[in-house]
Amino acid sequence: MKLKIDPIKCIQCCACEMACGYRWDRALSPVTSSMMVYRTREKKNYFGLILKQDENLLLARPEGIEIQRIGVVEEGVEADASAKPIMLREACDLCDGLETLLCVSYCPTGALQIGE
Amino acid sequence: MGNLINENILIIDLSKNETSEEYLEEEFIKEHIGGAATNIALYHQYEDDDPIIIGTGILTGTLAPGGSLAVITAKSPRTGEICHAPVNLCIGAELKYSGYDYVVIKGVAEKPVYLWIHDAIADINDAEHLWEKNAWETTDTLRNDLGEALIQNLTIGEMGEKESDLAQVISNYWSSGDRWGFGALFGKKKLKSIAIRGMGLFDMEDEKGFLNLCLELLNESKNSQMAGKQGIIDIGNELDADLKEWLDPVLHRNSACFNMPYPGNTFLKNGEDPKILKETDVEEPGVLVTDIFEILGFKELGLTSKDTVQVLMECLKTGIDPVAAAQICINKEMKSVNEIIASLGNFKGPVNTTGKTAFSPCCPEKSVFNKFDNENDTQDWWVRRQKIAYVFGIHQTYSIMSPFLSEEKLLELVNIGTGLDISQEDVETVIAKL
Amino acid sequence: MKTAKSKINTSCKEITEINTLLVNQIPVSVDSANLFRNIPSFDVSPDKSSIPLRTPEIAVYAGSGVSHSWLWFVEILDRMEFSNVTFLDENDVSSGKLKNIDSLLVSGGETFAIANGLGIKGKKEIIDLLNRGGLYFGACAGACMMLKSTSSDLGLLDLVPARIANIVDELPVPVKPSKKYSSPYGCAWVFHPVRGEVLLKLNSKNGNKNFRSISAPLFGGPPMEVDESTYSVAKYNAFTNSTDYLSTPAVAEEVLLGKTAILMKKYDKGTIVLSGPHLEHPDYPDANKMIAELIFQHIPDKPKVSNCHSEKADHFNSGLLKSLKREISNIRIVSFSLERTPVDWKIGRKYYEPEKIGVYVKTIWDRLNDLEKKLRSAKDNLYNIKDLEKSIVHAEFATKQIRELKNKVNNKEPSDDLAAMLFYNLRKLSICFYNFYFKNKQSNLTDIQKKIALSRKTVWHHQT
Ligand code: SF4
Ligand code: SF4
Repeated sequence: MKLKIDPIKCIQCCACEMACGYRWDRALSPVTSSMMVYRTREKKNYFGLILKQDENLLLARPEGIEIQRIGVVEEGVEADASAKPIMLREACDLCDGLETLLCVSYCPTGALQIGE
Repeated sequence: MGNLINENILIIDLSKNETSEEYLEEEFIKEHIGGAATNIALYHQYEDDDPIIIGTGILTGTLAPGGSLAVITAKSPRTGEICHAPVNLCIGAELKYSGYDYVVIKGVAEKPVYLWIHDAIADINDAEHLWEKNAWETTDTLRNDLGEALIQNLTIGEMGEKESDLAQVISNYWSSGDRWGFGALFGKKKLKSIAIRGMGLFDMEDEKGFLNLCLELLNESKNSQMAGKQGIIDIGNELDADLKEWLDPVLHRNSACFNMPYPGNTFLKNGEDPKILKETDVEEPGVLVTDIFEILGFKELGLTSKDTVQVLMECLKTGIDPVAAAQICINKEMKSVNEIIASLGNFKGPVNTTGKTAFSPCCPEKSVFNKFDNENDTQDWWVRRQKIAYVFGIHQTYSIMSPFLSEEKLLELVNIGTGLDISQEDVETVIAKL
Repeated sequence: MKTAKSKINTSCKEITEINTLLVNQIPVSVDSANLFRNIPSFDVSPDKSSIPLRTPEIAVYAGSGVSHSWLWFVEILDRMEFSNVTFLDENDVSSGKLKNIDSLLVSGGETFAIANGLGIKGKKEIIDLLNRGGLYFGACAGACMMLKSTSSDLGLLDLVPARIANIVDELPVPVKPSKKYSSPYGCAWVFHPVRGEVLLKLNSKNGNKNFRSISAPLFGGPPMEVDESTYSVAKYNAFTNSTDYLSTPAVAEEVLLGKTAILMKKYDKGTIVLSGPHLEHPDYPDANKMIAELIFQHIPDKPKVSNCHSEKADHFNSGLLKSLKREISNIRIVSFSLERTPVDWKIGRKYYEPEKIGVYVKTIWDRLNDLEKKLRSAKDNLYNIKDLEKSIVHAEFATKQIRELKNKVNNKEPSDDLAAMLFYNLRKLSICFYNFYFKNKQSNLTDIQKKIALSRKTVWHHQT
């Protein structure tokens, strides 16, 4: 199972953030989700999604999807040997075996879908 | 208790430069439920201090579809009556997650101030450096100074500072549902802005039950006549306003307020090709239309959509209610963009754009996309629908699109989410008082 | 106001229980055989069935050279209800603040930077602690610092004659090109065939055949080879699904498996325990419990009166806590915004990402709300108010710095120097805050709980 993102369909409603926040905190919380709605360019109406995965940050921008490796400090160079992992935001674990992915269920537009 | 609610009222005394908190008692919640009804109760409690009340509903900021609404309640400088203005985008949710359900702002500051509300802390900060900045510059400056672009900001521009009764409270950069001149009240209180950041958390009494019902309602929304509709163009079609062709040269993307399944906001760009999706260097390419009536007046005036975007941008920066501004232009037959922009700051009322009730006419006065069983008597139906939306914290326009979001279902959500036992009679009592 | 509550682990219940009783001045003795079943006991005679405990005096090193992993000690010591915990930087160590300490805990970072920071004076103080019968527990860099180095001019403590088993002159080919794979060590290389979780097999005591194994994460810590003077407490035994291979599995097995992961060495009256893996990582309660066991093991037999309540308490002004909360919230908000920004800073030899700011802030934030509630009910006597005041000054400064940093990052201006100052300030802020926090952290039992505790046997047994 995979999480498929179509950023063009996204309407920045933030429901996915809340659903994923619930997945981690069993509560309504906007700050702990693996899925982040990127909406800091408000005056430009430029928005998309950022998904924290185990090793990557998946950037789903309107112009396309890009994958950034976490801990890579320059191209091809990763943080050094004793770099300790940061555990603030959990990486998406596809809802750890739940039948449906919570963010997909609460997404009103189909911007998030289950894929293979 | 504490589920879905902070149980916390913030009292700002601008005259004394002091903040304090009041505990929101369970009895008080049962008596007033929330949103506009609680705002009214708080308004009367602090009436002598000419207060502005900003309140959230129990469902604001939750996964309840459309749960984006916060309400500003105060005495309108335009009508002299106590009125309610809806505030959406992420502002309602942000306020709730900042640790406060209600904010009471009383008194008058000695010199310009802004409020910085975050993590159940409220600071009254000096705003001399913001005074005389336009609304957009103010939001930019606060976001820069405080270090977070997600900060939500209620602010005023030049019109508010001048205490013009055409002044609107601006939501970040965009229009709020304030048709009441609440911007003038901010100005009178020397209150330039309310910057909010919310990073809290809410439990639910019966989390599974609450979330399942939210999902059920969302699915009804997805399977309704709303499906596939987007932005102000489709709302316009319902109001017999054909906007498609007119807007085509400036039409960018549609977006939604917090957890609103319908993307009711439409971005219009005149500063760059609106079909470009990636980020460019143009900092201010256009405007987000959050209220369809903002542009209808300018269309009626005969402006092109490109010119409308330009005028609208100036209205929002100046902090004048765009609907009132358009009406003045129509009355004066003022059609030159340059002339309009040059004289916006001197526009004066009266204009009749406030509707007939205490609820903002920014919400179309008929059902949209989906029919309601009981909408025959449109005015009564609409007022009741607004009351329900303003009490529970549901986006006012989404509420007139969503018959499945019935009073029973909303009440059920509140009760299973909070663990309170609010009855339909309680709702009737609250509605009757509004 | 509530905040996010991710990552709550099961704590080490037994240890929490002991500490709760101790802090309430209820006598506790432990069945030594049970408590220390994995660790050879140097201080407790084997025929003694139980030993009385007192609240241990613990110091966590948070001085120059450390990474954010010292905050893991904060997390686990707090969870296990240890209360007499002091956080020290290099100046505190060299100015004699280890005098009253039973156990010094040192986590990861840059080995040489830690050693250099401590200087000759600091190292002497550590040796004094050992001479007095104290415990030095070091993980990762904290372990490397005590090992005899191949080169004499590295300035390490050189107290443990164990060989780091992953030092090579020439590096094997890595699976993927990565800086995590190797780092310079003197004129050779230390290389790291894996990162993440590893399984450790604990040596049995007294010929006990029932080996126990625990897991803990390895982030650049050493595999070691020891001689007879040193006891190998645990060896690297296997890898798990959460192990991240940086070299081929065959190379990883050859370099790590069978090598010592945790060692113990007697030094004068004291004990040095060094661990390659991070036993203090909060996600590994079994490993955390070993640290607690070591701490309890190194309390001299004779109960010593804790100095906590002999200090002067000050009147508490709740406005102070609010001032701190305001600033921590301000920092938290900006650190959250930086988390979405693709930036990192090179500070010393290491790269720092914005999330590290978040770690400092979150660890304090999680405790502030609790503390606020507790102190609201506390009457007036509080200790180390000066530390709280100092932490506010640092926090106000950090708010200014982080906002300036955010603007520099937005404007794409160089910001490494400012970030270095911010991290320095955050570390100082945290040290002051935790010194205040732990000093005032009392797990007060109700009278009924006390009665129940007293009516029970004072000898406390492990549930096996
Ligand atoms: S799949 Fe689950 S864990 Fe992953 S982003 Fe969605 S809600 Fe979060
Ligand atoms: S729920 Fe769907 S539409 Fe809403 S922000 Fe997330 S991805 Fe976008």
